[in-house]
Amino acid sequence: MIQINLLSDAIVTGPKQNPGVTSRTATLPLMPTTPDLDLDLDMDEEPVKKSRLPLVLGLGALLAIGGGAAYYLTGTEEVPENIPAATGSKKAPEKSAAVAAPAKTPDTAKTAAKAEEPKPEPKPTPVVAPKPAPTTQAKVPESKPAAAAPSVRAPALSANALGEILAQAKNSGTPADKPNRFDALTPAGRTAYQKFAFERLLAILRQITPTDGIGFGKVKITSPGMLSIQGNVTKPDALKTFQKGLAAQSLTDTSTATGKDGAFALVARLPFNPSFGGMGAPASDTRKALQQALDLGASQGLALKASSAKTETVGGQKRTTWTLTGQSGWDGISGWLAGLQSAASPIGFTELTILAGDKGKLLVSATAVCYGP
Amino acid sequence: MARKPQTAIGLELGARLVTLVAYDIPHRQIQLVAMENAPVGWQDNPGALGDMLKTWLGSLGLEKKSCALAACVSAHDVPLRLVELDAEEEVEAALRNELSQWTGAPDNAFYLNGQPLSKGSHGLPAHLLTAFPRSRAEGLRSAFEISGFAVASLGFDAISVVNAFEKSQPAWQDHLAAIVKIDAPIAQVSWVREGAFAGHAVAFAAPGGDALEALTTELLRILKDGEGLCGAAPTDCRAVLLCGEQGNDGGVASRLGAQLRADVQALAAFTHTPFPSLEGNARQIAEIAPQCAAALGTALALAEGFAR
Repeated sequence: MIQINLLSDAIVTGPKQNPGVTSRTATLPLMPTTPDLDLDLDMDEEPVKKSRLPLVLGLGALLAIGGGAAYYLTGTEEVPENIPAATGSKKAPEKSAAVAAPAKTPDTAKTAAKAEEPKPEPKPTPVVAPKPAPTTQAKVPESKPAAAAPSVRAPALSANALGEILAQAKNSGTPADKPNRFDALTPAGRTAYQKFAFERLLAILRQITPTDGIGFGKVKITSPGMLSIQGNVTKPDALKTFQKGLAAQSLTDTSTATGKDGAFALVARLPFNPSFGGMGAPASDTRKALQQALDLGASQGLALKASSAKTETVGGQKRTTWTLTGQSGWDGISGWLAGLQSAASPIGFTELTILAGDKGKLLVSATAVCYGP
Repeated sequence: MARKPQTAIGLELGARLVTLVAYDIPHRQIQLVAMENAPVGWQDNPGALGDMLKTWLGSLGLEKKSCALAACVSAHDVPLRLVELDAEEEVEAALRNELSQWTGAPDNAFYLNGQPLSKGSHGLPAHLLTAFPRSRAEGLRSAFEISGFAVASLGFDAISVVNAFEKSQPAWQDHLAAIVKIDAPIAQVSWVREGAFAGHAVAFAAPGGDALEALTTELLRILKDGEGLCGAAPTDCRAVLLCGEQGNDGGVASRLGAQLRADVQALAAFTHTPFPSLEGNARQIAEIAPQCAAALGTALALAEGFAR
């Protein structure tokens, strides 16, 4: 990259990689910064102690028994009343291509929600209870604020800008027979969608999380697009802000349970998006596909280890499953998922879990699947 | 501790269009692309440009606090050269001497940038010398002050497209290539050899008639003659990558391709920079990528500066 700045005199006499030899530089306007943003993406608080995690997990399991399962089976709409509609948020990128497509009317979204339950894939197990419970009755263990809050808030996409882009381009049209449900996809198509949905959910999570006042102990994403979070809030409005962000990003079926000392558990679902991109293809060599995924992780600073492969035949096709584990920061995980998408990797995921680890690291565990010989 | 911005905004201030690419630094992906008509004659009216930017950037929902902005302008009328300097001479004095020879103006009339880069026409180490009139720089600075967005740096579009090429077309990095930015009635050729900037040339369409046709003719001459190219032969050129407002014009590409041995194609500037919000819209991406190459290259260079 060649970097010049025509707003100042800058004559470099040494190697161009050495900016220290710049002979003279005029005063530039100060770059705008904000005290509540930290691009280092370090955890903004102390990492949650591992000993707390089983307690939080216990909360999730207990509350799930209490109401979560019933919630999903019945499909009852339990969005908290204080969450406004998606269009009510100034920061909502409602018209972004990735988000606008699934923004259905409430009725159609609800219908699709019921229809797109991932039958062929391992059934996602909600870890946290979606049913709101009175604070006095919630059996949330005491815990210190969790630490894995992603300190990123990306500016929203502009509806106007996207319209301008699309106005310049020819309409490529949408095939009439495009699957509109996850379980209508081919096995390879499902893996492609899983990558899209997981990456999208993680991006949303990072975008809407308030910069302070909230921490996550555990984040779990299950196929085809279920987000479960356990954590703590230290500011009264942080959870409400977070819920508003989820609603603004068109995530549905949001439900939250709160406990003592700011502990909370939350689930939300990403509606199926039929325009998620390529329909995927089976791998020609599953081992190479796995190696590619590991290499992409390494390139993002996410060193992953894979368990031994487990192969089974599902619907006449061979499916290989691995458990991938590693640790990284938010950047590494997001970059890895984005890289897999860009590389059109044939690998998909049925589950991705992120736990707060020591020294700000995130412990990543993913169940990866791949169809092919 | 100084905090880094999350979004690098690259802005190309073209004669007719202002193009914006917002690059998400943490995610290393394009977040937003937008275009807007530039005020007529904005070069002489920084206030109009500032007002337009204020309204437009505000409407895009970009948060000033989390953004850093860099801009680029056309290099068609200012010095942008590779110069070999006498090793015995002090670099700054030599560069100012070169500049005064080209322009005839006092050297303090320009902001002068120089950095060691590539090789010159005699195969010796050369410096990239760029200069920009102080009066124009101050005008742009005031325009950005009006807009409310501070500008971190100002570059040339011809350099920005090279940066975009470097990021998006790694397969051509081992060869000699020409990045052609066409904004009729002006086109600029940036030569790139083995990944390094190797020269710059400008084509103007003769007045009257079909500007694009005349421009193509002039471009053919420049590409065949190797005008502006330092330290290499034009016959070694393996690729011509088209970008700019008319970068997708099939007529230009086919005519150049028919008369040159090089592979002529549009610059797919978004190839290695994901654009999730347009995921699956390959055709749209292919159509806008060449037009946004300069803005993207500006944003990438800015982001790289913060990554260091």
